[in-house]
Amino acid sequence: MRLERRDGERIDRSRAVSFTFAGWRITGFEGDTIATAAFAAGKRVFSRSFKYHRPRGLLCCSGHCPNCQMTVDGVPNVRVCTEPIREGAVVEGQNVRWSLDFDFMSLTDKIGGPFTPVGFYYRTFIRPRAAWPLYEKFLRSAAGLGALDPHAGHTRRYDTEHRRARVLVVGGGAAGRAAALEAAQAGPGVVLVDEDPRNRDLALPGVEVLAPARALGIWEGGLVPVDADTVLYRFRAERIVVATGATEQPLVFPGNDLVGVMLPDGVRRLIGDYSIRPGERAVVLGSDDETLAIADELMDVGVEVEKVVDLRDVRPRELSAQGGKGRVRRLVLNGERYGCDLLVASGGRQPAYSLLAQAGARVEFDDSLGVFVPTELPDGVEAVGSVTGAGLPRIAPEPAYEGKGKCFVCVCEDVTTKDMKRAIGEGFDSIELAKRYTTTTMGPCQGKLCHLSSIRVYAEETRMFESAIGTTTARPPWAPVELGLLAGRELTPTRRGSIHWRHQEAGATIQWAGPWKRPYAYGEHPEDEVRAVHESLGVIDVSTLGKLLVEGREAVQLLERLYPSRFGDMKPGRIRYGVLTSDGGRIMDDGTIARLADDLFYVTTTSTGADAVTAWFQWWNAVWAYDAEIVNVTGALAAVNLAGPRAREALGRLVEDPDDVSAEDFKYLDAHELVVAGVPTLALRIGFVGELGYELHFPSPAGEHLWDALVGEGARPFGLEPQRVLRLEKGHVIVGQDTDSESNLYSAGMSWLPKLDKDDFVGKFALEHFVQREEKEQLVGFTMEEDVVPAEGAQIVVDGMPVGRVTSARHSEAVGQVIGLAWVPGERSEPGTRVEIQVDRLRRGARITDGAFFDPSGARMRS
Amino acid sequence: MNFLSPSRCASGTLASPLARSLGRVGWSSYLGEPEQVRDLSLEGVVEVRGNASAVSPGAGEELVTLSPRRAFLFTGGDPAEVVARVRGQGALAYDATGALAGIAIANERVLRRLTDLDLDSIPTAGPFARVSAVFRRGTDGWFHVYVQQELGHYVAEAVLDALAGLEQTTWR
Amino acid sequence: MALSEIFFPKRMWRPRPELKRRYEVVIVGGGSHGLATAYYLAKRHGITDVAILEKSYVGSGASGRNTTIIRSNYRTPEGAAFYGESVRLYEGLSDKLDFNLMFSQHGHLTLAHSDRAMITMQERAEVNRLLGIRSSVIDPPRIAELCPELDLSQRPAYPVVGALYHPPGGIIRHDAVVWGFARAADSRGVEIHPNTEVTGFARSGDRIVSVETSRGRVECGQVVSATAGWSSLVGRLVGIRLPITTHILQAFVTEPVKPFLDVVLVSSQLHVYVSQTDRGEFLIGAEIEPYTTYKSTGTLSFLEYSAAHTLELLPQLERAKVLRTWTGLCDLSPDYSPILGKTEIDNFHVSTGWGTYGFKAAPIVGVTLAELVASGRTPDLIAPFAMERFHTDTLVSELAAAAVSH
Ligand SMILES: Cc1cc2nc3c(=O)[nH]c(=O)nc-3n(C[C@H](O)[C@H](O)[C@H](O)COP(=O)(O)OP(=O)(O)OC[C@H]3O[C@@H](n4cnc5c(N)ncnc54)[C@H](O)[C@@H]3O)c2cc1C
Ligand code: FES
Repeated sequence: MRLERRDGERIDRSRAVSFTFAGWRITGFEGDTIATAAFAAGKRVFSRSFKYHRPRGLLCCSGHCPNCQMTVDGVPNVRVCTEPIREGAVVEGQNVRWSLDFDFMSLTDKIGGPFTPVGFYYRTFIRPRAAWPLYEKFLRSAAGLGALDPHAGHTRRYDTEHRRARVLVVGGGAAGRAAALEAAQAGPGVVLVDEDPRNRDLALPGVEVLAPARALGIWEGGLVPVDADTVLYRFRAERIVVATGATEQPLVFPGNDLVGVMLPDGVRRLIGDYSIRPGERAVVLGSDDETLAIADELMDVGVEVEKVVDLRDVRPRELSAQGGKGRVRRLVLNGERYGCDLLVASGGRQPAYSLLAQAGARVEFDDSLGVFVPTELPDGVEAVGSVTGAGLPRIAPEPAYEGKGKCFVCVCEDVTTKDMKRAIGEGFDSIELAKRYTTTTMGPCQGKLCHLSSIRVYAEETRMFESAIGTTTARPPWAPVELGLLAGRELTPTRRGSIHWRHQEAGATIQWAGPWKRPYAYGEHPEDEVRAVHESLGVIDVSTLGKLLVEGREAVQLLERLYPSRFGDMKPGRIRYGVLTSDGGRIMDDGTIARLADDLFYVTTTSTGADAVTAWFQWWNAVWAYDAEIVNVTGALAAVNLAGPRAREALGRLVEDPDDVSAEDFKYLDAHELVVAGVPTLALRIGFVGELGYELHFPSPAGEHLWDALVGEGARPFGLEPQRVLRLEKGHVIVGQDTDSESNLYSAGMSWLPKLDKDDFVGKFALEHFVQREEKEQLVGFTMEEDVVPAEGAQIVVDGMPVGRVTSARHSEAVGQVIGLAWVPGERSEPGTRVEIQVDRLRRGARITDGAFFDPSGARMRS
Repeated sequence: MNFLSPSRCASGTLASPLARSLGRVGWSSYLGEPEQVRDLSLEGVVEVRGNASAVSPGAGEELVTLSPRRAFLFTGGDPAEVVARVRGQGALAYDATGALAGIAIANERVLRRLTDLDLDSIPTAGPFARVSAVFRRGTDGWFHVYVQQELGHYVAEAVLDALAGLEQTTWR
Repeated sequence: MALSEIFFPKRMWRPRPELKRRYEVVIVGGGSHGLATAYYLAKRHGITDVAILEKSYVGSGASGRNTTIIRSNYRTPEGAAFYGESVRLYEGLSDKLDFNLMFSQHGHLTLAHSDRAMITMQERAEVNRLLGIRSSVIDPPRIAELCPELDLSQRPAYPVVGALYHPPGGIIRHDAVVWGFARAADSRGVEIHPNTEVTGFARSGDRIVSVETSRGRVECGQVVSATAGWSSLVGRLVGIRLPITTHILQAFVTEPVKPFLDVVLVSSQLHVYVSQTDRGEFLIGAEIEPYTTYKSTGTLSFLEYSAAHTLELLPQLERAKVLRTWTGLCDLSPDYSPILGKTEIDNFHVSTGWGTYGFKAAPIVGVTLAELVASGRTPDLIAPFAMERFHTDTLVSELAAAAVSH
């Protein structure tokens, strides 16, 4: 089959490469593709079709059509006509039961025809309902092409690279090259991409050529992703020149999918690039000079040309290809038979306008050419060459020819002209409906080979003009692209505080907490950490807290308008708890506000809230135009909470003068600047965990140093889990866990917080409304009657219906009971009320409580 | 606001969190030859707010203005003193040394793998490895990229990973 | 009997060259909701003097673009009861419509990647169980039994820690639902008018008297708007304001492969969900775009993020190829629950606020709106979803349930 060595061939005959193809050992040459080597070795069947399992052979040889999709080294749906040959590759057929040459499922083709018209699955398998899962299993296994390897993991490295270009030319044909060269005259920054591997070594002066590389689309802001196998180049160009040419269209006639029916371009590649004689006896069918010219080229390489049919001259009554075992044997034209094993047929060329359409161009039918052409290109996008329709011959063949056998409009999806007609007859009489019902154009080639034919067949059947029908929407990408390439490298922004490694070294279990990684606990027994805080001393890394400085002449005004609380009356050096509410009066975030000076405040937020709160503050500040600056210093500062009865004593040893932290000089809710272990620190005396405690905020590069110093003083590190228990014992709410997007200050039991007599503040309107009504739900504490811990999310049940939910629940050693927080109906929120909670299918009793479970007077944290 | 200034900490108390975390992911191997990346985290930075145009950078300093009311002043001096100086010039200033992790990167393609920023627009702010960053060029032509300190470790890993990818990519 | 149609094809619905002068009920929007409402009006209430006015072709809106997830494991008791009823209707619908909707109930897994997410799962499971909906929280070993393909290792940035398992959840063929309802409505005498855009309404006080269309004016008894993403525009034509914002939602399919994944996987942490259709394609979607728009242009970043997140769950899909992407409009209400039923205009009823989750509600919307139109009374099941709730502040918040809520 291989011809004598020829000029311009792309194979290196000195280097043999072997691989297995459907079990056969095949040897080709370096430069071959898998398909060309197999073809040269006599292989003709490459796949089985989607629905009828008909044998399919090479058709386009350009990586567009579905016919050569095979599984290569476990990767399904590889178009082997463009896949370079590789030593030792294992290439297998797919969607076959048995073998490529003999496929049981092809029975659907032979006898199933009448039972499986288009859309048959909507009409069948309806009853009995119980049998549907079985039918479905069968339908499912019949669909789909290749199979994925369930055990495959990440096997390739994919990267993304952002590029800029002055001019990006897509398409390396004559028009694209000319455009690139011309652009290069004006200066550097010209890039040309082309999907054809044959352009790998294309050299154009002043132009960077990327090939094989495929522009996938023109997306937001003129972004053009280019698929270069394992690198995705994301191009932004000042000018995009689309020179994607025109795609050869299969001719629609009965038997047009038989093995041996090929498009002229495919045949030219086999001959010109791979020196393969594509057949012995050929028939040529076409309606343009370019197609018909292939007859001479075939004869040059010794193919006998049996018949050339110029469809401009002949108007056949009957035109069909017939074969045996799925291979073409003859052309039948008006009763005459012409024997052949190669039938080169073309229905003309359709501009490959997809990129332009996606970029926003309009597509309209050009009556004089008989094809769809792009118009009204968006700014910055140009089209050159045959993608514009320029130079294309008029589409002359009939939309479809009559004859015996299945006549395919869409080879990917096995849609025949009969299917199209039937669909229209059934009332799917808009092109979009017909497309959806028949699935024409929805196959792996994305309609590149059937969009035009579908519309032409549709137009003929409905007696409409193509121009009135219009196109179906172009849906990117231009060609199928691997998920791995789109995904690129895995990048998950992860926040870690400056003390992170100390926790890791201490063996802490690290967990996600919003965007942060945080210690959950330092050992198997979080309750020991709880006990340490109650009885002695603990320290927790709270660097994740959001931290903002608000400074300026009108800082007070800004804060008073953002929070329902008052701050103007605070003395410098004092702290107040604050809750942010949304316009709708819902709870958004909470934290502490320390006044450091008349015009300077230090605000903390929840660990997940820093960015949102900063943006919220800035947005409102921009609206109100206060003289105040908001500076996010979250990462600048490490923060730890030193808590426990021994906290004062331990801190006293690390500051210059222990009196600085005495009960008189450093009171509950005071904020002082201290130097702790040589580190300038902002110390806040607050009590989230319910014991005497100091929250120390200091430069993050000193994180480990200060942490070590505190641990050196006997503080036991504690993690998130013990902290959750400790705060629950105090009845302290975690915003986002105990509250949700609908909770407000009244329903969450913080009615003391809003100062409705203040001037306007965010959410005031809603709070004024809430204060007058009965809340449907209330957040309350509860204790369980038995020692069972309900799941967080467990339901409060009345008469078998869910009426409330548990948001937090833990066993507390200090309280000696299971305690928790829950939302309950307003009428059941009185302390002492008994409610029932569903725990593992059983109802368990619980009592509503009031406020804190542990040290309700707060004596310990104020001590 | 001394509590914002690493330079006010006693000697021996400071460590660059970035360098610390990079010890674990092979930073040192890239500090050899050819040198590819460098840690800038302990170099002085001051965040300027308010009237940024009132600020005049001193010798060896660079002012990167992000908006009329926000700028970063990169300084070789003691940032705490620079804060005082800038405040004297009529703007607000905060020691941001601890707030930013900084990495110097030699290879432009590492940048292109992690940001779609127009590199000619540097100095500026923009995305880097899916987080916000501030970019400037060092006197040696290297790219200096600054991100929030708490993201430093993540970004450094992304940079090293991009370097590994460039070494591996044979295509072109 | 559908089988005979295999051999003797019949028209699915009749061409309707003319609009009548008046209809008792005019339904704006030929999507699943409009068609279902017409079907149940005819079937259950004998009201057949009904016109469906559709500006394009039936199913051209979100009904023909969605990712077809059907489930009822909602967070609020009101939502769970409502969607539960819808799933029950769907289960019998192929039979009722004599059209195979290919409802494939292989189970639905909502993955949790954090203990905070587990709380939400637990809550949903508890609410669901109390309402008789099969739903439970399961641990990784059980997940592995149901979906051995899922990467349950510690490799992903956000390892899976558990899941909410909902056995009746699954996917359906969206076009089949649209066509099945259309055919059944048509056969009972309902008129379906494609390419008929509603351009205005004439009112007399608090009543609509006639509807302006691109094909002329029709008088009407009652009007139902089932226009999803276009609802606020139609509301404006009537002269009412709906608390709806319209966003786009994108989705894509891969090339088909042999059966690989049975269950539907949803991860709100990763903002992605994956199923495999009966055709073999992986159907993948994400969260709505945060900006409001009616312009259906997709973005590359959607593809990139969704691909990355899919591979976090199913690394085997690394070399599966994206075949096509598309966008659809989503009508979002403030509490992520629908707005259903009466409005301040006496004879104008709406079905809107469907966000990314309305397809599964089509049958129950049809049943309840038909009842409302026929009887003038709001059925109990949809009373909580009345538009009034935004005035009385009695929201039905599904917001907290999941960021990705199909
Ligand atoms: C990508 C995507 C994925 C989704 N995934 C799911 C999912 O997995 N599960 C789920 O349950 N839901 C999902 N949804 C949501 C679901 O698709 C919709 O909520 C549902 O289809 C709405 O149905 P509908 O009939 O109300 O609206 P539509 O189907 O949108 O129908 C509205 C119709 O009104 C027509 N119309 C509009 N204005 C006019 C006018 N002035 N005159 C005449 N006609 C007009 C439109 O042309 C359209 O056909 C998804 C949505 C999208 C976009
Ligand atoms: S031929 Fe490929 S989609 Fe129809």
